[in-house]
Amino acid sequence: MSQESLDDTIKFRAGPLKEAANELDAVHLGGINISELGREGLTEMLRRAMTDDDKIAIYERYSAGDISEDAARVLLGEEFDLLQEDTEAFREATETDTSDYLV
Amino acid sequence: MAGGDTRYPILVDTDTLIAVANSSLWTQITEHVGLTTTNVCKQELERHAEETRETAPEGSRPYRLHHGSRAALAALADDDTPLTQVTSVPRPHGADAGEESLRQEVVQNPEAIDYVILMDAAGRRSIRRAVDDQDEDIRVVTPPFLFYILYDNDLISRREFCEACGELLEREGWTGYKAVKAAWEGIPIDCSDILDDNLLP
Repeated sequence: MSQESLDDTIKFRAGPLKEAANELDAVHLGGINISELGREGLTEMLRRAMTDDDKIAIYERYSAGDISEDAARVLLGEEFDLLQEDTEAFREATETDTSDYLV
Repeated sequence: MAGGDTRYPILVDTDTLIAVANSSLWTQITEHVGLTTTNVCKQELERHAEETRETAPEGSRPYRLHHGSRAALAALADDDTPLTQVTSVPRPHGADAGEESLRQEVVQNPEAIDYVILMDAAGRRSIRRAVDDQDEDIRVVTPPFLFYILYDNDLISRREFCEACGELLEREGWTGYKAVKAAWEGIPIDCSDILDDNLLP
């Protein structure tokens, strides 16, 4: 993820969430990184909220250049890399003489 | 099953067999392309055929599991069809036994294998790692590669290739999408004039 996007903020009404986070920060040995937890928590919840159809739509939007690779990676995680691996493997496979596999 | 000890250099898993057995290209595949699977995958096919009803609603997942498994088992039982099985020793157990049996084959008989085809993306990565660990030249690819072999050898038209990919996309959801997308990006065959817009970006 680029530094620029890390500097962006998302605002929501935290209320008791903020109080809870501050309390944990106070009692936990060494404190907690609330910003880091917030980023990880949101990433996890975004992924959990996605249906398979959403994943297809997100990858299509990435392919069309409508969303960044960083955003696509946040949403698709490891699945994004698996797709790239499979594409490369398929390309290599088609460079061989496939007539060898006919009977 | 092909006669004697014939084994073919393309190793396929249970879900690949079911997916291609449900495709419009199954007849051409069983006529022209040599495939090997494992006894463990065969047992998974038998279990799917037993546990799902023949009368499940057409197009449903149980329907596809039942009829796809039966078609694959029939090809395995037919001596004239180039689909054979090898015995996996020791026989793996559990939910991923089929995939594990392919991984075992890659480790034990790498010289006999050129391609491994699996439907599951995480399974492909796992076997790719097993191949890398052994420094072998085995490629691990998605099921549309079988359609591509037919297309590449002029046994089917571009239309038939695209339509078979479209069927896979519709049936397998995100799993099929990943497989077909990887194929389209790996080999730029344009299917936009053939498939409905809802199957294409």
